Amino acid sequence: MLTFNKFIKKYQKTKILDIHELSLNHGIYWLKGANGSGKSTLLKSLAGILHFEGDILLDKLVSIKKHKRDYRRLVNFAEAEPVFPEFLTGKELIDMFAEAKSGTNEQKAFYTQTIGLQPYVDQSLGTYSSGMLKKLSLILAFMGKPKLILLDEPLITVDLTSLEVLYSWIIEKNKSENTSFILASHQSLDGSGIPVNTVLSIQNTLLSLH
Amino acid sequence: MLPIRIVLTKSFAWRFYKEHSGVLLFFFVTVISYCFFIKTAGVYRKEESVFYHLMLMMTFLTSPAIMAAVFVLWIFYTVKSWQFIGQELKKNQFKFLSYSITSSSKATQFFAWCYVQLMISLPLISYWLFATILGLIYGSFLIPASAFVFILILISLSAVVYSNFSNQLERSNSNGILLRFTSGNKKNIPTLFLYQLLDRGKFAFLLTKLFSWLIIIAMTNLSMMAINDNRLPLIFILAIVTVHSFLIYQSNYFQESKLRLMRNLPIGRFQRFISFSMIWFLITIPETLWLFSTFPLWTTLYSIFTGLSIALLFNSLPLLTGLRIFRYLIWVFALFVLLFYGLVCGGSYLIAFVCLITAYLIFFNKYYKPGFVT
Repeated sequence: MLTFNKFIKKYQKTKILDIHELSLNHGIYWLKGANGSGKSTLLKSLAGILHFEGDILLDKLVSIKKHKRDYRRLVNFAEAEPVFPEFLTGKELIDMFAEAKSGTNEQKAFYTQTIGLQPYVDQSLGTYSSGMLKKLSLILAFMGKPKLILLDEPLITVDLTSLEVLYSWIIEKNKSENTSFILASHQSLDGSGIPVNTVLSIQNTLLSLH
Repeated sequence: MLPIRIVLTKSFAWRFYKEHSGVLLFFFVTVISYCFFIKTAGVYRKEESVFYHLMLMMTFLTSPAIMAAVFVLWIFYTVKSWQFIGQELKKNQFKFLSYSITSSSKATQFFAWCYVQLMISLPLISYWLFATILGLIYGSFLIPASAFVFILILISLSAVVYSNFSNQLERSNSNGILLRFTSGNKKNIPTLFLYQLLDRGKFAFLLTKLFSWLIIIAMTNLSMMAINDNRLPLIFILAIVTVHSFLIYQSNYFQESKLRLMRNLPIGRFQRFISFSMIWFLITIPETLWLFSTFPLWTTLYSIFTGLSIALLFNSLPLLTGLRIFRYLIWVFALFVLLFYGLVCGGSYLIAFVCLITAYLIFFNKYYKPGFVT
């Protein structure tokens, strides 16, 4: 599913990540690591946001650097602490993501209703609590038909009921569309029902599989 | 309208006008002043006024030199919009665009950005439209047609520039030389904004200093007051503080966006109020030295005190206006006019104290009511 090719990420002169060669198969991955180990950096690099040395291929064909648009259409991302312009409404943002990621009206209705954001979508984001912004960012990450969804700390700031909904989304998306997930989280996913295939961990700039 | 266009237009086009409202207000006031107050070099009848204005527009329609000058102004305006959107795209609140609109087709992105630039270019288009109507009436088509093509080129070019901006991968920032030089030094809270200036506000700082010096040079050469007139250094300092009002706003913006936890620190209200003085003294060192070199010692010292009082008043304004630059600049503009007339009409010895007391009262009443700061 994902192939790293001489991937190196540095901040100024400090090397944060060094993944020389690695292939990840389809599945659900739990990414672990201490604070500052580079989990968010890895996810942002995989999402096509941060610059890095080397290349990343999706399904051995779609290069993050050579086929930027195709890659970004197939890889969705939700930030740990999402920040959006306060003057936009939830609906405007969801519509925009749906247009960009070829999401459907059914998807928009399903995700907003099941996570309980429907009553607030016409309000400006300035009125949203941090939990609501987090839910919104999760909805955006499920728009379209991605092959890989990257969720950075998906369990923080979300209430328990909504967490159950999120677990069901992940399980269903993985089952019905074979969508892979990389979930960066400090909290354990045990008991969530999510069939985690492999645990990834970052230690001393290296990514290892368990 | 398509969702991507709605979001981009709201995020950039309308905000471009809002963020530059100060400059637009300045031009508006200048034009109004010109229309109503300027004395003409000769007398012409009221009905001739329309004729002369029409003639000015006709010159654009028929003179390639004037057309070229107008085109250059349009280029400046367009480059300014590139600069604005380029900087906005780097802000956290617009990071989501790098993993959303970049997934859509190149054509979708291009036309969405074209629409944004079309909205930003409305003043240019209005001017062109007016010229075209006159061109149709007086049978001069070549230059309006060229202007139309030129606007289309500017819009298309802008769309390409913005598409490139939004598709660029984010590189890790390297700290500037000045910031690296100061790294490791103990930093105290009141001066943190200076490091922010070194890190992110170098351009705004240099531009402010440039304007400050231009104003000093212009006033020195054009002022009709005698150099020993006590009001002169106070008017200088008022102009200097007004020029620095944008930096003062930036300092507030920095405090509210990055240092909100400041309110939680065990620091007294008066100490918080006065802590801005340190930043003010440091950023106005060049102007202070100039004042000392030009005016007598006691006059200079009183001018510095007056400047600090006005700066503290401007620093308290965002607590009333919220972090809304348009409202803030309107207040600054109104206060500038009020203080200017106050100084000219003999209120030199009162103004510093009035400003200081007003600034403290605003600060005292509003600082712990963050509901007023949005």
